[in-house]
Amino acid sequence: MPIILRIMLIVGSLATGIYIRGKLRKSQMQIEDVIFWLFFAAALIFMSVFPELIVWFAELIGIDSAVNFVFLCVIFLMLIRCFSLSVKVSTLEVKLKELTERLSVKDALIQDEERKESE
Amino acid sequence: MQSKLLLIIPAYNEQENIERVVEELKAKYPQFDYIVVNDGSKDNTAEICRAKGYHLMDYPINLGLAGAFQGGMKYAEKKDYAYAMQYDGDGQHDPKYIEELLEAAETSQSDIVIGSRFVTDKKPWTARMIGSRIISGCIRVTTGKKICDPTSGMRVFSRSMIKVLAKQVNYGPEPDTLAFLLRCGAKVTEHQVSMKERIAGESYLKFWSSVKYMARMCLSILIVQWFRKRV
Repeated sequence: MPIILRIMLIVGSLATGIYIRGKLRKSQMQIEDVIFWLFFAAALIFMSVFPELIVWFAELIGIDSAVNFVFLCVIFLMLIRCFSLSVKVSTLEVKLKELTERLSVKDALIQDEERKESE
Repeated sequence: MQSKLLLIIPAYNEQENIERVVEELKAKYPQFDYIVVNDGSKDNTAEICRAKGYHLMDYPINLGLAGAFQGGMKYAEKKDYAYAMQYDGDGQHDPKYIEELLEAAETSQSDIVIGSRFVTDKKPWTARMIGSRIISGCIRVTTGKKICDPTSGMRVFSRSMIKVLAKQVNYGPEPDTLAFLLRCGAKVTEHQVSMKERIAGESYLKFWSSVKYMARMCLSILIVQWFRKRV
């Protein structure tokens, strides 16, 4: 792996790690979500520190350039993350809808009761 | 006394229409209960309803037609209505057909009765109706049933359907739901009605979003349905 790319990966990962730590401290993220990103940053650092392992792996599965293997890993992780986020957003939308509907139905029922009493 | 049928009137930014629509109902058809579902309107829809003392369900945020409809269904379920019907707040639906549709539902023992524009009348060849033909075709292919007017919003649902629609996710008041319920064995009939043109305000379906709508409907009916869990 080119040394420049390794340095970039390490710097990028460290910066991401520090940024995430900040978000966690300011309570802007839940721990479950933080874990993924910390793991992601750690994996990038690991890959840039031990490129021999990556080269070995790349050769094993028939990828000529180790860099491509790194990209493949990153893309794959991103896709999984993207999908799980999509699931999460859907779930949240359903929950939000359910909450709004229930709240408003309850309001309407209370309103009906009041109407009955005043009649 | 509670009526057999609940009219669910979804309203999003309908300040120009809502008063006329509800007043017409109250004056000519007081035998039917109704509820206006204000879907987080940005205009004065809710204020008008409150000032006039209409039955109102007021959403703090905008959920879209499916959400407004489902809330109405939840209300119908809680209050044990035997039938519930979507009645558009924009004045397109003619209230003189409510009684007919309800009767049709009772006599035919249907789960769903659609107020259809094209049972006896011919479907014109406008862009919108070509879209309607495509959806009809999709339903025909997947269920073997002929639905002349799948996009009509004027539908009466029986108690068993109310229960499903009130609780399940992905059962919006759209043709794909209709197709899926057909496949689940629901009995759907159509009854000839005519509809009015919109008098004021903007429709839920603007022209360009129709393309997106069509794609969603066709994919949902042709493909997604096969992955869904039946009720």
